[in-house]
Amino acid sequence: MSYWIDQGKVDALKYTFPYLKVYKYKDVVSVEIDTKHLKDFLTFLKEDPAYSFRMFIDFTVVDHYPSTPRFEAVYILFSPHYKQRIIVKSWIEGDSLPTATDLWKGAKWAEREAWDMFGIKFDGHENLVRIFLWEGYPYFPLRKDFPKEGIKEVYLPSLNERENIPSHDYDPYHTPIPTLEDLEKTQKRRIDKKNQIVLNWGPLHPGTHGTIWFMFDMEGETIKECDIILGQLHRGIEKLAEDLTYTQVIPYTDRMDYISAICSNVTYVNAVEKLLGVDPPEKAKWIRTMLCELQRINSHLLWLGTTALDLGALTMFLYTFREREKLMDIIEGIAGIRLNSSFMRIGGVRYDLPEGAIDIVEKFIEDFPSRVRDYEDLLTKNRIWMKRNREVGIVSEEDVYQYGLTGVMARSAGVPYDIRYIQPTDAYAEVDFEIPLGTIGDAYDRYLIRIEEMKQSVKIVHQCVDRLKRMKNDRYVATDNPYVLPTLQETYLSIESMVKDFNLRIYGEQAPLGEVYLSGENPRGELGFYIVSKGEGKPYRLRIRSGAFYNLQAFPELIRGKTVADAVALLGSIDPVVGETDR
Amino acid sequence: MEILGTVIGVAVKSLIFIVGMFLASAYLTLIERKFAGHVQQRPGPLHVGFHGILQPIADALKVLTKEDIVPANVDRVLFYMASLLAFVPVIMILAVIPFGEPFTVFGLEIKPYITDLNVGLILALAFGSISIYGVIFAGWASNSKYPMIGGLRKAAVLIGYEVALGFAMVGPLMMAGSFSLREIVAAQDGFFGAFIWYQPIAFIVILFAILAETGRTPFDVQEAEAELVSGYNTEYSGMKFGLFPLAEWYIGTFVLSAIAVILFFGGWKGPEIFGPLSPFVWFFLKVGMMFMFFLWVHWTLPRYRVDQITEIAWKVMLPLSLLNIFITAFIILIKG
Amino acid sequence: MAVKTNSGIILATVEEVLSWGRKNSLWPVSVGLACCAIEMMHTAASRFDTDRLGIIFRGSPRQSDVLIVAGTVVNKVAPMLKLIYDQMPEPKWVISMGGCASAGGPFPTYATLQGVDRIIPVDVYIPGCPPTPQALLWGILQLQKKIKEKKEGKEFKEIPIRVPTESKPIQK
Repeated sequence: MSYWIDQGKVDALKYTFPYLKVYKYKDVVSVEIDTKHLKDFLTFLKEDPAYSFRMFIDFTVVDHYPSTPRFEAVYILFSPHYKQRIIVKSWIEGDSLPTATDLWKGAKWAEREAWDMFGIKFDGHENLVRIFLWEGYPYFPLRKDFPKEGIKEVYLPSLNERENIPSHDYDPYHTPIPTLEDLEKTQKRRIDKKNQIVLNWGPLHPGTHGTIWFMFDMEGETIKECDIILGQLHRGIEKLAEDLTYTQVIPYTDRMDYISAICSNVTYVNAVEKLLGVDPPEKAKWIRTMLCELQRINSHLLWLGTTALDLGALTMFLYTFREREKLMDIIEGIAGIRLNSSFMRIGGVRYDLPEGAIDIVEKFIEDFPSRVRDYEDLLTKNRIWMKRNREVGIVSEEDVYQYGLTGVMARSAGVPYDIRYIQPTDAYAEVDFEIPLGTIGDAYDRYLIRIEEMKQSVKIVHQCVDRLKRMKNDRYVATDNPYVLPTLQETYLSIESMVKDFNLRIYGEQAPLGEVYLSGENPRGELGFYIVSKGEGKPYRLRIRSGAFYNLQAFPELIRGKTVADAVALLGSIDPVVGETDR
Repeated sequence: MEILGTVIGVAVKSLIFIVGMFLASAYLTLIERKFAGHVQQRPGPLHVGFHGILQPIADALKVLTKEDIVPANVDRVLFYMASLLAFVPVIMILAVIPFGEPFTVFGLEIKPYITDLNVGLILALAFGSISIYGVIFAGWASNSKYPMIGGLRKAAVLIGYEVALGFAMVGPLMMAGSFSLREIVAAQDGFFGAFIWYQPIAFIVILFAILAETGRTPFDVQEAEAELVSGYNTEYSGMKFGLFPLAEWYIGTFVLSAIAVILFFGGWKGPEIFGPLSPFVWFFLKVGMMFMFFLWVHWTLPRYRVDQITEIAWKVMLPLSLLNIFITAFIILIKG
Repeated sequence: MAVKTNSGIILATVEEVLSWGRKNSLWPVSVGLACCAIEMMHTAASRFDTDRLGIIFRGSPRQSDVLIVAGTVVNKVAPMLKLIYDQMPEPKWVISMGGCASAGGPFPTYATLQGVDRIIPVDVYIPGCPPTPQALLWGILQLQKKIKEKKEGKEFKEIPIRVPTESKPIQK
């Protein structure tokens, strides 16, 4: 079964829009249309009941410097009714494009990102300002003619090593840093005071889960208007990836969503494997599934602890971190690193499971359900917890499609959008699990869903453990494939492997021409990778579709009319990770 | 001569009380940290002295020698006054709290209280209310948004709970027939004479009110860290900051626990199994239990939203305390 | 007697006691930036428990002594971080946790600050990406040692904080 739009519908589309061009790489279908008809085409796709691509997944731009026209806009859409995806592309004439915000509210931030990174203007956009960088920043960094290390124009030496500059290539000149006035200007562009006070909540604040900067225009304690300033952790991962081989990008996917590093790894590796046509061995798939689910438990535990901490239940935080430590130990034992493990490789996993790993995982999942029961005793029927979480941030089904909400946010509104189920990768097609759905869509629903997901993850891990026990001596990485790095033993023992290893590390995996979009179910929502390959050893463009980015976008609308205390509860239930929203 | 003796006696006792309370409050921080630690399966302060015994001293040294920042835009008079205003009245309440009956050592009669006013309880309530101004002034004088919201929240919470607290105390007072804390204790005779058996509603209201007054979870909205950084004391540093938690969390909780023990648990009364020290042991044991109860609540529960707190105060606690007064009055009327 | 022979002795003793107090009561600002913040939280949680050493996290910079720069400092957040540092009362210390904070780490890009010591002076650098909780504890112990040594006269160089104004023309 294909998860992309089928051939019959594509033919029908071509009949309606005769100037449509259709490309296909593997099963990824993309259609190209000129800018003049783009808006009509998108409206048709959204409204027509035969297609009903109502859900907005992603929008981005690819820079084809130096060819003209230079920029290509890319829309990725999903049809909840038919469970199909489509990519719509269009060459941008000049430097402006009609906005899609009147079709999907979710396009608002994505278009601002395109303006910030590529300098594309959008006609009709309500507030086209910089999203990650600050007002007054002169460049558009994701353009191909901008160097990845930026333009070093400010003299900014180390305050510590002033006299004897160390021997490494230490440059006292640095890329421009905004002043507080610049940031004030940025802030002024976002919100104008209409009520009593404008409260800056963040960016360095104990309650904002990282470095998100919220601005509340408040009447008393009621929030009348809210805006969010992102970019306090924008490190330029997408730009960096254009200069790295496919394997070298893996560690960066860890550092994006650092709470669920393995899930991001697996999604990225799956996307690259699809591009390269690598099929990992069965055992690697099961190991990936098991680690993904352990990581999901890990991530939800962190969410539970910090959200409870934000709402005042201090001890809960330490209880969940006790379990997290056990999981971290398991991951450290298997992967060698506690947090950002980079354990996945193209074509499999890095090491085989060590002796006794399965037993320890088994012990953990036997013990874990009783711990979840403890947490539930403390919170689920707690009247204060219910009072704080009920009726906070109610998400409707329409919101889900409009904003492209995914993950727990979508499921709390009753939309069964779980990539593990609609587009299973790895061993998810073979395991048995249930997807909890909410009925009301408030923060309390999301709490219940996450608790239930932890239980379901335990169930999946059980099945993986059973299967992995029977695969003791199987292969864990498909080294016979020309794109896969040989294992350490092979490299040391045979000259062919040594040469292959050398070539892959120096020149990278020479991917065929094409483009893929593949997503995975991260604990924070749909994490997708859109990779454009031009037949080089490195990705021409790597677009990261972040679940938290789109989920956070609904925050200003959900918080309107609530109080600051509700903002804490709502933010906790959205559970964004800034590393992923800002990349 | 006699007057001089009284003056010296009061002065010495005040000194002992104040110094003792300072030390005690320092060590109450350690008790809290140890208690919280063991609840959370960790040891708490461990390496500074034997099992962290010197931790409060290290903290005090550091806080006292820290640079004292006064931000540029503050209202200086109120900014300085606020921390004193929060701290001094709470200490003053100690003047009316009796720790036991008068006893004789080497022929000298010692009264373990500074004064036995016939309006002791009223005085305690009055001072308690004044100390709240400290928090509100701190929030206002800081000229910063988070402290101001914190101060206003505290004001909103306290208006509700002061009323409930006052009315809830009327029940035990009616039974004792006096405002003097000593006489209230004297009115409670034996195990079943303690007022907790006759005034459970008043006790519950007062528990809530104490949590709200001292700003412990679930009512710690004025310094909710995730929302307001550090609430009303965000702009304070050094010892000016140090006085706030001491006053609110430690001395405040201690003093209000003592009042609750006197009102409901018969004060220092108990079986004389510890010899002559018996009254003190019982009193501090009971106060300690109350204090631990508050800690336990603090480290377990999430916090309410501010409008929910005031809702509880006005819609639940106030009617309950009024109802309690009527029931008590009715029973006293019937029994004659 | 000590007063008669050398008044410095008493002063030295006072210094010693003060630095003992300071080193045993280091309150960091609870500011987390990126991945390292998670390990910082783990260090504060039950297993490693910084409270053993008297370390509790404070929300407000006005009440803290240490700034643990936990994670990547990007250009946009740099002025804010400096503001936090300026708001802290003296004496104050800075721990640069992890590769990103110390030298930009794996992000040599247009948006990332290449080392937090370009905007605030750093006392202890902790390597790792991210450093484990053990490494952070080790760094804190190093800082305690440093604080203790300062009283013995081994003052480390005071570095004036300069505003980055000087600039050179764009070079390619």
